Amino acid sequence: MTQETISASETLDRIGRVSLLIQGLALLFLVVLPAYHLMSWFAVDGWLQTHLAHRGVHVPVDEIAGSNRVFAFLVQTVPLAIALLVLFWLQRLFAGYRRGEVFTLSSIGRFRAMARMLFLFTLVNPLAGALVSVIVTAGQPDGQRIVVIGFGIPEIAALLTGGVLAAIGWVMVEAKRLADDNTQIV
Amino acid sequence: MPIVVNLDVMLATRKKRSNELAQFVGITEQNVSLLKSGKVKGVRFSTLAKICEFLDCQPGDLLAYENER
Repeated sequence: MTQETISASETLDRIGRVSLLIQGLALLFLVVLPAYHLMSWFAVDGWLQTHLAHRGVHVPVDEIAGSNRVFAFLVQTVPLAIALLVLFWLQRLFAGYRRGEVFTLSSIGRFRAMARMLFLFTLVNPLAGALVSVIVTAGQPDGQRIVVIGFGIPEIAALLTGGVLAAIGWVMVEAKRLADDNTQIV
Repeated sequence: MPIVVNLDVMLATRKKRSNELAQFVGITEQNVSLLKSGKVKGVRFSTLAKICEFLDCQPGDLLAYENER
């Protein structure tokens, strides 16, 4: 075995170990985020109070009617679902890396899927936040009902990350072409 | 493809088999077959050197250029 092949083998082992770790983290968050979402809306009022305050909505959570709470929960579930899809594709990407699927159509597709979901999150999250602010303040007296529209760090981060992933997807297409050419060199 | 691979000729001349070549060089028999038929995009120098060592020949015995015009 040549020095070159030993290094390639060691690199693949490292890729496998790191991929397993990232895949595990993504799967963990796939469970933790929905659980946190459910608990903050229906079990731990303190979490909900903090969450709403971060969005600029200052209403006592015990004054939110049950039906409004359910409706707001469902609305907020939409951007959460998009975030979960990103995590789903992330863990699929690294699962593929563990199987040696690096420069393949599958891995390129996963990069593009994550980019599309992040762009969608950038659009949906502010709209969902605005709707939630209307819903949770609907039961308040006149003059205390508000609508909060925000485009902040989470959206900017999603937009930038989506752009980076989209660019990586384009580069991966060229990398796949080179890899395919390489398989035809003996 | 203007580059012609005369590997089958050299194998017959040296009375060697494709599977023996594949095993010695460290490539698959399928790749040897593709090489013989000229359906590869390139050959690494390391592969070419191993083939020459196995067949006791020069690269020029294996490769030829034919102008297609």
